Amino acid sequence: MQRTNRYAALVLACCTAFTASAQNDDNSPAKLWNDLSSALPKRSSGGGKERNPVTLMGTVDWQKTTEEMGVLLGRSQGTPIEPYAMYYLATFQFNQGEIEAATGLFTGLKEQFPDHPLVKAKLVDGARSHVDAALEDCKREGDWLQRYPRKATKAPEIDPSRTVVLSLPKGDVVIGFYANVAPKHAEQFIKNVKDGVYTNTIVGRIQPDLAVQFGFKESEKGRITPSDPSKGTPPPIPFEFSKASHKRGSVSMMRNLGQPESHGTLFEIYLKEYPAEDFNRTVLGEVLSGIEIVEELSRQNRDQFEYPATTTFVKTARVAKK
Amino acid sequence: MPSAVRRGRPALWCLAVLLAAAVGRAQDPPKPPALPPNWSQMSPEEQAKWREEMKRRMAGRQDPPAGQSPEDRAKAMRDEKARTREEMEKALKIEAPADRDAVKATYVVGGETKEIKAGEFYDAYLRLSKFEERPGVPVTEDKVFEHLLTLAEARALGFDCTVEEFVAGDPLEKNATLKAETKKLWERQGITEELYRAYEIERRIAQKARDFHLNTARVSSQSVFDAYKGDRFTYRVQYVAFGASEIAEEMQKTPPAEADLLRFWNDDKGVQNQFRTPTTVDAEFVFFDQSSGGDGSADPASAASAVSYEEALSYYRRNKERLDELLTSEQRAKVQPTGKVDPSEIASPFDFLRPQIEKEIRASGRVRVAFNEAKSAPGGDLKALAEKYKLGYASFSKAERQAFVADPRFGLQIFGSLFNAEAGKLSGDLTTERQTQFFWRLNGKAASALPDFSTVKDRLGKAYYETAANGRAADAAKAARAELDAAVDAELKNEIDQRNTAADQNADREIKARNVSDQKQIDEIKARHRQIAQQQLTPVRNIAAGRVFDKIAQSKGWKVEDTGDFELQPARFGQAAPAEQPLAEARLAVVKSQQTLRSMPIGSVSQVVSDGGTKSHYLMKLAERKEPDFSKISESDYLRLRGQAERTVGQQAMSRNMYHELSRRMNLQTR
Repeated sequence: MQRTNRYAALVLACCTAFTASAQNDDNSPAKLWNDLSSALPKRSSGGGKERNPVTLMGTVDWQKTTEEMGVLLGRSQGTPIEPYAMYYLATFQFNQGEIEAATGLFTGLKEQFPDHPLVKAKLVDGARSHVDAALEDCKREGDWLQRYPRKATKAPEIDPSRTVVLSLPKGDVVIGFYANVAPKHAEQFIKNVKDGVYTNTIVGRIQPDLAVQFGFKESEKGRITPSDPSKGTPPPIPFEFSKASHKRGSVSMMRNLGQPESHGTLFEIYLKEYPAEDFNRTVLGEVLSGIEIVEELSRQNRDQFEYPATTTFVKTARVAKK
Repeated sequence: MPSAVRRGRPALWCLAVLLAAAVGRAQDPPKPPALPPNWSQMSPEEQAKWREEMKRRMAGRQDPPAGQSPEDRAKAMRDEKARTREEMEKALKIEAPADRDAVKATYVVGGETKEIKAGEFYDAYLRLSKFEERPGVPVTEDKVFEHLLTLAEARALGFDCTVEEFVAGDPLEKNATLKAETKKLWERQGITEELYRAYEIERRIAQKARDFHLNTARVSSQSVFDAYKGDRFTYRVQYVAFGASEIAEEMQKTPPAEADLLRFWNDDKGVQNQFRTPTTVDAEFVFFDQSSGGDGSADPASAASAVSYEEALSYYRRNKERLDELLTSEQRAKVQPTGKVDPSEIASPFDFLRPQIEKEIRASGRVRVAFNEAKSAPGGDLKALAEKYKLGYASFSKAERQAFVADPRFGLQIFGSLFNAEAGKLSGDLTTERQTQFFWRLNGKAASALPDFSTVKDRLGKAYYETAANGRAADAAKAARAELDAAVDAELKNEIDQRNTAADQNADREIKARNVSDQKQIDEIKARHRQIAQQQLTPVRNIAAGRVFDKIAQSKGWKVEDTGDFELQPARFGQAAPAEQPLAEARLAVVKSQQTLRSMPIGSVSQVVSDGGTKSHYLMKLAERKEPDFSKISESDYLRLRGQAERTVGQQAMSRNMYHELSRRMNLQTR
């Protein structure tokens, strides 16, 4: 038994030493700086030959970003990177609305690293340090949220009870709806389908591997007619922006010709991430199956309106049976 | 005189006039450039320098010396351009300092003043010029300062880059072959490994700072609310409407004199157009519509069945746009190959479309035969001809343009072709519009004409009252505003006098500085400064007008309406109100859509606002503007505005690392 225990302790010690050394390589300052930079959601354009694009458009997934930074903070304990990771994490929590957590982290940073430049150097307007300025912002934001509390923003969820099937020449495309965040859009779309609005409409503008437009009448090829209930067309819909971002498979309603509302019938299916359209068009759902059909459609030859050179019809549109 | 010359005379005259104008323009001296806006603030030395520079530039614009050829002139301009570029590059080039320890500039970071030595500055310039200079984009002093200040701030924040970090992240350190090749390139460019390392380390430090500022920008609810407020303020407005309808009612009690009506008729083109008789045509069409499904072909044995190459090509050219749409994707890929194809596979659209073209021409065979017969018997019965060949027939009598828009079988442009033809003539050839082939005959036309006043004077009353009443309403509104202004002038007399005096003093200073002696220029300068003073006074006057508004409204018996609280509506741009909407409601809608309310100070009165839809002229006093209740913001609006706020703070974070922001924030003082 004693020999077994000694043997087990030796194995455990070796494993620990091996793991520690492996971790040390993973947690070297050089590696940590690199990982920290990769974990940042936004890149600035700097001098020199590398000019990374600025990702300012669209939304940041703060939850995911916060989680990644939390892991990095754990790894950077006791290294020069730790205070920076704390500061980043606290900021991400602030931007997520977790003011108490952010305040705790900023305060912790001030207490643990009182001589660090983030705490000591008066580099912010008003002769304040970065941490002091952040704590002031936390206080103001906390007071504001007490006056105007916000409910957590709902994540978009597909409503399994309502799907629509578009029959295209090469197959069916099934669309599901985010009825919890865009209920009016979902309602209107399904009504359009039931009223036969989309049957025998043509595919509109196609942008290869980016997006395809649907819902156009053949007689109005090349034009976008505004939604106008007085002319018997479905009415426009007030925007219903949410956390749903434009990505591959997103279905979003086109805008009603420069107005601050969605068109009543015309919609687009996106084939890749396109956050520039977030908060410009309402994402009402996503393609559940058949995205490759839309992708192939986007690669057709185009005429002068950028419509498919061979007119492509939506044969039928129907609400799928549960 | 030969007829060709006679016909060409108007064109020759036009050409002569254009040539004379061009020569005249060439002989005009070049106009002197406008003075820069800050002229009066410039020192005499700066003004002299500016004048010299302008003279030099103007020299390039003067007429070439006599005898200089266009080629020489072009060469002289190119040389001047190259010389200007050389001078600019020379001016921007940074020379090695005589004394490396001399202080080039000072700045403040973290409350401490620091120095940039000339040697340090020059070394940084050398590094940046080796790695960041591009053709036509030299590294300037500003760029070097931007780099050094960014580094200083980054280091003050504790950012650094160790050699280990550099080695771990540098692609050259991981790839010996790449490093060897790069070193050869460096040798030619005068770059050493040490220089590269120093530059890369600095670049990484600066990048860390930039990323830090960009990613630690906090988005506050206050910023979202500030954006929300802009569209959601609640306004309350007191307004007076001077409307045409009230005045028209009064005017109708006294019918207008004939002389007034005649003057109105002669002056108002809009009213004339209401009574103008439209342009009309009388025309007949014989056609075959392919889409009707029938067969329009002629007897196969007839000549109309044979389609020659020339005829097919001519047909294709006339209908190219429509026919090209019929090409399939596969055919289009051969017409416009995207990759390598065998030349034998490349075809023209005409090759693919020829069968369709011949089919269409043959399908219109009967129309062609009928057309030829109509040509051979001018003035014949086209209706009978259409029946004979089992073709469609349409007749239009005194038809306006709109008739052909409502019946677009023959194209929306056919009216123009008809009106430009001679009466009694057939169309020159068959025309194809979509899937209809046709020919036509114009039997008559009548140009638009203005009826005589005597025939319309009895119908002018309504238009007269509307227009005259609207004019009087506008005058009443202007008079009301003038009343307010007069009261304001009295109240603000001292301030107005003070500002006018200051304006005159500024004008005198400018006149003296520029040494102006021409009286006309002196008057212009004085008028300009007075105008600036008036513009600065406008918001002050508008607020003062608000104070006297109630008193004057009461004394004059104006009917002041109150809107109650409302949110601003989209701008209407003079849309006519719906016919069934009561006038009071329509006027309220006009006031509620005035975008100027956003920027008006509370308590101020607007200038006269005229609206064609309600034929009314308004004076509006902004009584209240309240911030919205943020708790009522919808989720959709909140997310949209928050996204916007994120973009704004991101952009602000980026601009904080630019030279102008850095130099301001760090109080850069150059020597």
